[in-house]
Amino acid sequence: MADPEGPAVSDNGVENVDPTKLLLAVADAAAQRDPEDALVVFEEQTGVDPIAFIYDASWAIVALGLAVALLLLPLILLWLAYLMVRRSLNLALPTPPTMAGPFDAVREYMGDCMEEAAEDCWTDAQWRRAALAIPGIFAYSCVGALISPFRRG
Amino acid sequence: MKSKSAISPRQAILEVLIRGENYGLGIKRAVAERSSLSLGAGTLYPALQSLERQGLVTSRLEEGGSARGGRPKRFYRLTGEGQAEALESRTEIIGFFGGEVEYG
Repeated sequence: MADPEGPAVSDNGVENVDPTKLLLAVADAAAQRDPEDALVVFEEQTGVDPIAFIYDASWAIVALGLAVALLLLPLILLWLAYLMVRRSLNLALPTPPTMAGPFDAVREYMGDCMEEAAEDCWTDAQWRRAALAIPGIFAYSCVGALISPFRRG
Repeated sequence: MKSKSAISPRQAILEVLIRGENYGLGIKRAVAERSSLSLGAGTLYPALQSLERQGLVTSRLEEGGSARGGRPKRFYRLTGEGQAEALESRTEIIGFFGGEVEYG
């Protein structure tokens, strides 16, 4: 059960993991293209069962997932409608968006964070604040990737 | 000397990049050194992506060292169009402050 005053997880060992290591593990796992690899990377880096972690942190993940879905759903529908119109008009279909960009953006950001943290001796609070920007950067990159075919015309 | 910072994040980024290629953290630090503007991650990285989509900057990835845990470093550089935009932005800023702004 989650400790209301502590981290979102408490009874699977996550509270014993260094927050910096935990955040980096989450970022590294998120950067994996294969979900199986993501689970392995997370467990290797933290020693914590990722399923238990996800279960305990599910409230946050569900909220984040809903927020991202609400943001992306209209764009995905727009994209599908665009494809249908082009197909019905027998126009050449555009190149589908690549999703490599958002993952690269998160890796770039985490790299900059690590470099800055090493030089400025970041506190746990600074790491937590830095981690809060990850969903925003990822979502912004996803939006950019999805609208890029429209920009190319 | 720190200049007055009534400039937008976009203008600040262009102003840094007109001096040469730089990467995310380098841009953030250069802006902080030259102004009282503090670029948060939620502003800086989307702004860089936006500038790249608009064709004002190009980027290249470089291997990250151990300090970055092997994560790549993305360097941004102004395109010709970006340089024109940066110079125009600089003219606007100097005009706004009546030539009192000191850069670098």
